[in-house]
Amino acid sequence: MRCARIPAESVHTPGTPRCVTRGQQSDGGRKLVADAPETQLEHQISAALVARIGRGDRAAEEEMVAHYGRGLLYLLKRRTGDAELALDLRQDTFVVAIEKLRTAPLNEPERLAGYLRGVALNLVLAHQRKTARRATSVDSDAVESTVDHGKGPYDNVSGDQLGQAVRLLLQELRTPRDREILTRLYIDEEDKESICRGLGVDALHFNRVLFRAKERFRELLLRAERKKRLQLVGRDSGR
Amino acid sequence: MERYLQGKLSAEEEQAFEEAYLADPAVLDDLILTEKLQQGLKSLETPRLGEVPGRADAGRPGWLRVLGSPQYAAAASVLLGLSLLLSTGLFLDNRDLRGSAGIVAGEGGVTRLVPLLTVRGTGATEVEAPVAGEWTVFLLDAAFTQYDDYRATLTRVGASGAETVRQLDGLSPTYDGFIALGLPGQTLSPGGYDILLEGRMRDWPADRGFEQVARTSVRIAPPR
Repeated sequence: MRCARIPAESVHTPGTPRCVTRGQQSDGGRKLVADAPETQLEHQISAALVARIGRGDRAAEEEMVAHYGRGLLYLLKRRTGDAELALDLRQDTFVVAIEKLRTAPLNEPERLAGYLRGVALNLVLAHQRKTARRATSVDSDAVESTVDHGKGPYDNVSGDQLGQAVRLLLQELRTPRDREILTRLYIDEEDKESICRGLGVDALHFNRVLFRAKERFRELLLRAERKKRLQLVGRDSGR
Repeated sequence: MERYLQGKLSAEEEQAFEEAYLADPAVLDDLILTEKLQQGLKSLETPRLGEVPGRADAGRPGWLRVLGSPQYAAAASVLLGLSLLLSTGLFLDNRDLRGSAGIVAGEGGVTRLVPLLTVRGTGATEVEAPVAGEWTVFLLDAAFTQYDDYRATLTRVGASGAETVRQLDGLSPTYDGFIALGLPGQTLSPGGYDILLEGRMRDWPADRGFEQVARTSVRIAPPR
C-alpha cells in the first residue's frame, strides 16, 4: 500500500444519466445541459442537417429520419399507447418536418430534436381531437424507409426472456436490501428519497446499486444474444 | 429515467428529457433498458425482499447446487453463529486488557476495530481518541460494489477547511467483506473527519480515475 498526501479529487457519481452532467443549467426547461460535449455535438448535427435539407439534400433527409426515428417512435408509443398509430404519426411527423425544412429553416436549427418533438405532440393532439391528418405529397424516400430504423438492441426481447434475465440479475445481487431497492423502485414505483429513508441507505449507495444493476442487466441481455439462449430477432442498430 | 417512466417529471423536465433521448440514441437505449428491467421485475411472481424466484438450478453444476441449497445455507448460518459467539467471547476477554470497548490486544501495541456503516439520516460516527501507540482500524463496508482495487482517503474537516491526512490505495475487502483502513493513533487527534472510499477496475483505461463508493463522517472525541 502507498500513502500519499494529495488533494481530494472531485468524484463522479455512478449512474448519472448522460443528459445530465456537471455545469448543467436550465433555461425555461429548454436547455437542460448547456456545456456538455454531447449537447454541443448534437447542436452541430442538428444545424448541419437543417442546412443540408434546406439545400435539397435528400441524403440529409434520410439521415434525419435514421437519427431521430427510434426516439420519435418511442415517444409516440408512450404518448398514444398504440404502436400502429405511433408508426403512422411518426411518418406524418417526418413528412411535416421535411416539408417545412425544404422551404424555410428553423429559427433555432440546433434544436431539431425539440422541433420534431413539438410536431409529433401536435399531431398526437390533433389525432386525439379527431381532426383530419395533414395530407401531403412530399416526394421523399426517407419517410418510406422509417420502418427499417425502428429497432433497437432490446426491442425484440420477449417477456419470458426478460423474466429469465431479471431472475439471473436478482440472483447475483448480494443482499436482500439491494433487491428491495430494485423492487421498490420499479414495481412499487417509490421515490428514491423514500426508498433511501425506508432502507437506511444513502443516495450514493442507491445510485451505485441502480447503476450496476442496469449495467449487469444489459450484459445479461447481450450475452444471451451471443450465446443464443435468448432469441433476439432483427438486431439492427437502425442508425 | 425512473421518474420519467413513472410520470413524475415536471413539464419542463419531461420536455428536456424527451429532447435528450430523441437526439441521443445512447440515452434512448438506456431508457429502453430501464423500461425492460421494470417490465421484467413486474412480470416475476415473487420478487420481494429476500426471495429469488425461479432459481435456474437445472443448468448449474452439482457442487454449485449443493452450495446453493437451503440445507447448506442453514449449516453455514449455524457455523457462522458459533464463530460469532466465539469471537465475541474472545473480544470481551481482550477488552479487559485495556479496560475500554473496542480494543484488541496485539503484539507491540493495541489495535481497535471500528466498523463504519453509512446510514442515511444519521450523523457522524463518534469514536474516542486513541492513546499513544494505539492503532485504529476502520472497517469500511464495500457493500454491493465489486471493484478490483479500492482507495481510502482520510480528510480532517475543520473551520479552516479540509486537509487530507492520509490516503491509502491497493486496498481490498479482505476482512469479512469489509475494507480495513489501519491508522496510527497520532493521525487521529480530536476533531471531525471524512473518509472517502473509492474503487476502480484494473482493466479500465489509465486515464479513468476512481469512482466514489462511500463517504463516511467520523468524529474523534477527546479521551475521557
